[in-house]
Amino acid sequence: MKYFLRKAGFLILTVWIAVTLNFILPRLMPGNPAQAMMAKYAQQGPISPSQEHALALMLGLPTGSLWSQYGQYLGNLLHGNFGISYSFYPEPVIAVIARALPWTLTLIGLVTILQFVVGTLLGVYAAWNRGKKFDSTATVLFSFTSAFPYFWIALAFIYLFSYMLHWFPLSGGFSGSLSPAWSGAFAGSAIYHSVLPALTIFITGIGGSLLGMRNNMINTLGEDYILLGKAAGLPEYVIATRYAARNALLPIVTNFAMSLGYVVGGSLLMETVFAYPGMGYLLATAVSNQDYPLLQALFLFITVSVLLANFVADILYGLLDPRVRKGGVR
Amino acid sequence: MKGAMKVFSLFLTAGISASVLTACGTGGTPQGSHSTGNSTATNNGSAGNSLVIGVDNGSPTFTDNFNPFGPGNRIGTSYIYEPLFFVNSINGQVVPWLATGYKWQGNKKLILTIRNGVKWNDGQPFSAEDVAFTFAYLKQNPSLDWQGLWQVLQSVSVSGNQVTFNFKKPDVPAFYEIASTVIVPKHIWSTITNPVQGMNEHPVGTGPYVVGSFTPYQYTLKKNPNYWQASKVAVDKIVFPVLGNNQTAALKLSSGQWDWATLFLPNVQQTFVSKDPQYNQYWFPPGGIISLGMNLTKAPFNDIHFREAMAYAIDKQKIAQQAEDGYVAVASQVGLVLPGQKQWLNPSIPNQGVYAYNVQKAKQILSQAGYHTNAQGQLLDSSGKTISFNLEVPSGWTDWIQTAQIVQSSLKQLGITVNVQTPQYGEYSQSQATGQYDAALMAYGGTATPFTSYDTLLNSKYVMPVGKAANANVERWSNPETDQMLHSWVQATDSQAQLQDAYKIENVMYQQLPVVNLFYGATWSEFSTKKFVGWPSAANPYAPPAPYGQAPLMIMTHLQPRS
Repeated sequence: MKYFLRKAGFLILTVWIAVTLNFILPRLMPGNPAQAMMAKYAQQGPISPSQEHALALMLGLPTGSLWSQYGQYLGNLLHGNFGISYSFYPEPVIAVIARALPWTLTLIGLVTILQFVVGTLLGVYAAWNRGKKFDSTATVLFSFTSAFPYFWIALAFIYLFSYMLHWFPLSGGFSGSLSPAWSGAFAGSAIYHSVLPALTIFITGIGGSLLGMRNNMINTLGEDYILLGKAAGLPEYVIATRYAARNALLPIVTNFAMSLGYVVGGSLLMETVFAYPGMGYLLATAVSNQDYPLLQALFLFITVSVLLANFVADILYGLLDPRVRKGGVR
Repeated sequence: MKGAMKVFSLFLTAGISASVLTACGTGGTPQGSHSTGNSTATNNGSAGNSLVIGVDNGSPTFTDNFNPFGPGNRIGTSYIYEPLFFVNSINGQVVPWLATGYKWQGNKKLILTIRNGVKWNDGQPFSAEDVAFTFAYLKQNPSLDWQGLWQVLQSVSVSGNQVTFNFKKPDVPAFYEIASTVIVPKHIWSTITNPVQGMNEHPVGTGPYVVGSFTPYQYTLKKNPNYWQASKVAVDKIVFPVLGNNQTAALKLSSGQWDWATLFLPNVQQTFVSKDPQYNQYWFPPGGIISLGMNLTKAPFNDIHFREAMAYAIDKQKIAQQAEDGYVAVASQVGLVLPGQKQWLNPSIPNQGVYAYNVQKAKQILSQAGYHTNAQGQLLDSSGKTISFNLEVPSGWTDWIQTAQIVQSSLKQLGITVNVQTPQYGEYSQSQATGQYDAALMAYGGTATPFTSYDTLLNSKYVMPVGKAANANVERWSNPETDQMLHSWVQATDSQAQLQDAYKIENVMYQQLPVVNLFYGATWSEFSTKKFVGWPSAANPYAPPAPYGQAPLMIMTHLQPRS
């Protein structure tokens, strides 16, 4: 119990640090965003001081001392109020995020889970049959695919499957003739548009979990208890799955939980290449437009979900591996 | 919104060119695959009299925002709201639009005659009251008055179909800003108290189009049957799909999914025209001037001889060829966008004001002005100090960065060390505003009247001491004679008098080089004449060929079906 309490306390502390850093960082960057925005408009013609004031009001620029801004910021966070986005003006940040989040969670979430499951299973198989034909081809092939630059493979797939063969659309999350709705037609269109994005991240990402699992498993297979199991005459698949894979899985679980945390950040490269309406694209938009309210909210979402995922991984680890809990008491 | 459009066009001329197509985009030509009916579902507008325009980029999807005052509105908004006059930024030609005519009484009173028989697209009649209301609304909401009209306006009054503008002080060129202000209906906006915060999903305008359908990846406009020039509008439906990133946008254009786009394409002949040589065309007219701006409060930039040497030493032809793929021409030093503004050109200035590339001449000017080189070939000023400076370019604007690198190598021949820096746009513009920079690439010009460009570039009233932000004249040119010329021009209603002032300012630009002009920034426009003909061209430049800003109003009333 003490272990879990300690972990929970640590979570709260790190979230507070993240929230505070998130407040400070944009204020340390050179030039404030509204000035940047005003300067852009100033190219049209001179802006009078009164207009500058009007623009500042329009953007809702923070006023007052740093401490009172910090207080306001914390209060706003508790109410889910992240202000108004500059790049999506006049939409509130929270609405912009609410629109993007489901796309990222569904697509990247599913692909991440799929990658983990398929990669791990293939890794187990490769390790059990190490040195054989499947292992040697798979290891080489997946080291190769995981080293591909994502941008290159995505553009190559678009050129081949969309531009040349016309099998898939060139970009987008769903058809331009449809609006998001709970309908079969919309779901079909969304799935059709997600095939290439999913395929490209799956291919570039699966190598990691496969190779990781394979190498862990090979280590585990060298342990004495495996030898004992074999000597005791346990069936091969029981040794492979119940004994070796289960123990080899432990470090992989941490990785998996971490990557689930990163799902919230979306896949920046994939989403920009495919104009996919998720969180990664938002992040790119926010950065290139110096949209600080949006940027802050996105960073907060990402850090908090990574911290939460870490917390869950820690808890899971404690449950799965009693040694960790005992070690914690020491 | 003109302000937003200007920013956007600037972004297009320089920003979109940022990323260059990768090999797989430009590579092999797909054999016989320029059929318009391909498998992608995004293009459902190919039937009938419709036009698909690739210009509006979502983030990555569209928000339903048609607010003519909002900074984040859809491009389609400018097909719905109309100005009083259409001003062709290429040659300054003024075409009556919602107003039929104007006259000056003295130089502080402008009277416009408003068109009769125009209706808003909700059926209500349009009148001079709406015009007066729009200007009053700008006064009431200063955050909408991007052009700063109420800094010079005293009052706007209406009588019958005439609207009278009284000025606080003479400002004849302000006509162009009044002319391009889009008019909104009084019966809708008079009840809206916070205009910038609304999305205005159901825009009521006088323009040729109304919103048809809207989805996050595509919206359509359909012809307004009650439009006052309905007989001139041949395109029944316009489809705006999401652009996507540069690479896929180029693929969509070359596969014939779009009829009109505004992209920077490397080797446009091969990547676009050759896909359908019979119909695919492009026109990239100059739309502004990219120049080397220098901080004139610092040495050596405060030395006219040094600036003159720069103008000779920089290989502008190489910049136009390499950084801009040969699509643009070397800019005249006089600050006019030629050939469009040639009627303003001072005939006594040789070679249309272009400084020829001549390194020897540059060296000669420098040595006569007391500069010399040391044993390492470095240029030293008269006190013996080496000369090096930072040249700032916004991060990611690759064509500008390449330009800066050519400037760097050109000036190396003189023994000058140039450090190219690429800060984020915000930092780039702020350091210019506060005068805490050495040199930067800057864009200006291409305005309806050259006065506006010259005024913001040269008028000392914008000059701020270093450390305080200036909104214009960031190179800090402060010259009483120039101010006098601008002052005389701003009061002149007579075109001959304006011309005389323009000639004098061109001499200042040419002889004293407040900035060193490099090349003309282009307006990118690729279009297919398969369905419609009558596009603007070098032979008939009735509007800039841009699908954004106010040009579409002209273009959509000029296009005709190919019969």
